[in-house]
Amino acid sequence: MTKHDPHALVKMADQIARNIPDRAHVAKATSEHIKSFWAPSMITTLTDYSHKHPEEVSADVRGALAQLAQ
Amino acid sequence: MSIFPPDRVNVPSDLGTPDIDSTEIVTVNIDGNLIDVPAGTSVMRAAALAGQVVPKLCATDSLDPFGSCRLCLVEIDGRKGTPASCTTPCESGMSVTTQSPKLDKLRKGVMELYISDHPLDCLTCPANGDCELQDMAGVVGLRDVRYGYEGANHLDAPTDDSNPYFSFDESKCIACSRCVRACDEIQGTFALTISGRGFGSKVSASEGLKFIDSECVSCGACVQACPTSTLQEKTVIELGVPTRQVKTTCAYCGVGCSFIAELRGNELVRMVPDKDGGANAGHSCVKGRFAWGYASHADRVTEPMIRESITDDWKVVSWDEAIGFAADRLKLIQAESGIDSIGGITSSRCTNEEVYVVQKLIRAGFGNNNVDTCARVCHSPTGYGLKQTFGTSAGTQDFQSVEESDVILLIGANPTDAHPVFASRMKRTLRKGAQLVVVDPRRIALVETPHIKAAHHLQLRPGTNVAIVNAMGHVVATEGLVDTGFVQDRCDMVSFNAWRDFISLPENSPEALESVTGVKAEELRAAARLFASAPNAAIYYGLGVTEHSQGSTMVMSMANLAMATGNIGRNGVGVNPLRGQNNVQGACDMGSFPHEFSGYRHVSDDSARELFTSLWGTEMRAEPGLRIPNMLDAALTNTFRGIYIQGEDIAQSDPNTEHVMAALSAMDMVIVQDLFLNETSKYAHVFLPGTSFLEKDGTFTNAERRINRVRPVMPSQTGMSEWEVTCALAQAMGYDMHYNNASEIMDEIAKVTPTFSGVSFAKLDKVGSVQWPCNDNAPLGTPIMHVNKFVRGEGQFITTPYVPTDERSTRKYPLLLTTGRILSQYNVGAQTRRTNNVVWHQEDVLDIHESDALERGIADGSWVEVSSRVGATRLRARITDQVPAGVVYTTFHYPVSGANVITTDNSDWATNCPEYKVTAVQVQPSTAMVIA
Repeated sequence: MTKHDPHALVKMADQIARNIPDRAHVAKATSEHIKSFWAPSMITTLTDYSHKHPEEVSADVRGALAQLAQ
Repeated sequence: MSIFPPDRVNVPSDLGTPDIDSTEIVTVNIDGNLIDVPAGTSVMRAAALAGQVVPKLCATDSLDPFGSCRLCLVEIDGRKGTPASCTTPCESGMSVTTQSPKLDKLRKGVMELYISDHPLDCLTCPANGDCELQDMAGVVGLRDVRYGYEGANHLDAPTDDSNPYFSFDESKCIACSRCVRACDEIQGTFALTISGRGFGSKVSASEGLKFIDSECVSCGACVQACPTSTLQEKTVIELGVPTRQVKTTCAYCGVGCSFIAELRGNELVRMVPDKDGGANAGHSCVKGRFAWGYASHADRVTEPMIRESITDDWKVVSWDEAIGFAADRLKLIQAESGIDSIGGITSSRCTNEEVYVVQKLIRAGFGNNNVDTCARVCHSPTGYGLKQTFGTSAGTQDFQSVEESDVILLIGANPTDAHPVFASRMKRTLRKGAQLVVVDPRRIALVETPHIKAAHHLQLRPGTNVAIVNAMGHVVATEGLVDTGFVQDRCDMVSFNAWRDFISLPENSPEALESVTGVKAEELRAAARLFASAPNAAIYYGLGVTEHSQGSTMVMSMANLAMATGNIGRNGVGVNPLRGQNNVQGACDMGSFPHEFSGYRHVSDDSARELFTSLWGTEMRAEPGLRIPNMLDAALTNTFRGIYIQGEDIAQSDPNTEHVMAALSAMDMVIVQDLFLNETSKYAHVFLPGTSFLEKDGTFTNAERRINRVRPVMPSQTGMSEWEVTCALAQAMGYDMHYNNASEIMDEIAKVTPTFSGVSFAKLDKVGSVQWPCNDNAPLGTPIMHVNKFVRGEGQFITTPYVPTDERSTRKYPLLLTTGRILSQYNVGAQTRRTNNVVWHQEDVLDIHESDALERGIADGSWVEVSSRVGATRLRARITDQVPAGVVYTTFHYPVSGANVITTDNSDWATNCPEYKVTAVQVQPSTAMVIA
């Protein structure tokens, strides 16, 4: 599996969350965006990093990752 | 008497005066034959349509009639004298005589006068056999010149050879003004004039300058219009008149001009813009018309090369050895590091067919979706934004549509430099009275140019596009300017109501955003009112929209504005991306993005996946692959180790060069397929020589979705088509991919891509070009999209909150750098730097405002160091008020400039399109030039 720089992925995911038009459903829309456009290896890397360093990942992104895990 | 339908007579190729757009038909009698023509048609054109050639010199059907040469005289029953047929409109019942002894005598007399002051060197003249003056002397039967050649004449007039591509031989000029009118009417530069009076009249560039020093932009319109050898291509002077023609498509910008390549044997003599070209209608720019010499430049690499390590010298090998070496290494990498450890990049400079086979190789041969394309770094936000709002990833109009616009909103684009042929069309509309609103930090040429002055120039701070268009939307929503009928009929009302509520918030008002954008609220309100109240208002935009952290948001905000004001679905309106490269649209259409198959169907779409799985005989992945930046990031973890790069120089064109170089250096197999060794090939292990557009067989799709044929003008210099090389690599990788010709590839594209289902080489050869969607519902294509219904059904409004970029000016980096292109050069310059276009642009420079320069002690022309948080480079400074204080600007046409050494890896939130247009920098005087 390809590995990625988790810091770059945190930045990307956070930027997506900040720009999601539907502010009432940021986590859901972020998860849908990530699922549509990210390779699985990127999602896995970010998820692993989020578990290890939750303080470095925004609540919206953590919410999105939780939805992706379902 | 009989009526002659035009298709039953021998109609000449040049009808003398332009077509008239009128529904009223009048019937006239031409030499005893009746013909129906639109009211307002000239007698000359009507005669030509009836098969009667009236002699002419100053008339041509690409220019308005002028009536100066007096050769086209005719007789009209009931009228006195012999009026010029070019300037006399047909009237119902008019009876015209085009040939009579009286007319013959008059015409012969006129020709005698012309020839009495013209060199009689026809046999050695470059235009021998291709000269209208020569032809007309024959048509009028001139056998003698009674006046002799003594006395005053122009036979010793000088020749201006200053332009690298054409010569101006004043001794051969007949002062017909066709060149002057072409420069005015077609190109819209107004660089030429007739100076002097009477016998002293002469064509003058910028009132007496050499062409090279004048305002001339070398578009070639004057050369095309000249009926003699006065303005003549230097290649024709050197090589002779061409003997064969091949119709093809230009490989520079996204306008996609049609050209007729004219050759002697396999030697290209000149490229002539095609009058029938749907995109360009007979016009051209300096790049397409003249800058094709790179195709035969000595730097071309025509044999495959390999090397074990990037520190080794290149070794020339056979195709078999190069492809075997590449395939073995790629297979080994996958065996060691997994199926996802390799990928590829397709090129917008290649044909649809070449792009299609590369993405097929990756999806089917590599077994993953790690395919991306150079549109990632330019118009990927266009695809995302327009798909979300309208339902399809493409512009809405054809180019001709602009002729019916009343207001043009031009955002982040500089068409006179980057899309010159479309700019000429736009300028014609503006000269007829359409209004222009320019949104750009720079004062681009269209803000004020001869006979054009923008109604508003919203000179915003870089990075605040979304704030500007949100503020315009606010004005529309709060001042009762919404086209409620359109919105109710055509759009999703839930999304509209949400947008209206959002956009009406005080925080989106022009007044609230004035401090953010730097644009005065009152001017923005006026611009918004102008746009919203126009009968037809159109949006045109470029990379100044997309290459931002909110590029996708901006595309959606423009779509919102167009829908709210009812400006979608007819001529004169729309949201129109001006695509950077010739086949950006096509490369995207062909399934080059890691999340989409051809036709923009997501890889998770079961029915699409089943279609490809069945046809390609291998299972398709349902999850997206890696984008270019993801591939490069993964390379630095040593888990992405091999890449196939088709016609793209990412080490020069992509942002944060140091990062790109590190990633490429880390890979074990970099394959570059290109015309020349470039910055990226420094990190390559295999170089597969590519073919120029003159050798390709296929199609390009331009910015208006027009699919045009690219025909092989000459044999491939490498002995292989690029798609054959890709197929050979697939075979060597163990995937059976084979086509007999490029036409078969298009047949497969049509089979798997609903919007291309009606496209074939046979159809394109028959009808010229089609704009997708081209299918059973629209067998001849679709010039205007979303006419009665959006592709997605109802137009979707999307709220677009303005989120400032992370890239901000600071005390350390107080200026904002933005980048762009100039007329004579193209992208990374690989092509144009290898042509005579270098006479206009020998280096990239840094544009800086006088106040910023003064503050730093920078003199015009001096070297400066430009530094950002990721790197530094050195450029020569040009002090100009085209940029406002606080903003600096440069181009990226020369690798030595290192413009992308300083751009950051910030990118669009939705697509990762780099934020090239905003980089915080410091500029300081520098004493020496250092190669970046």
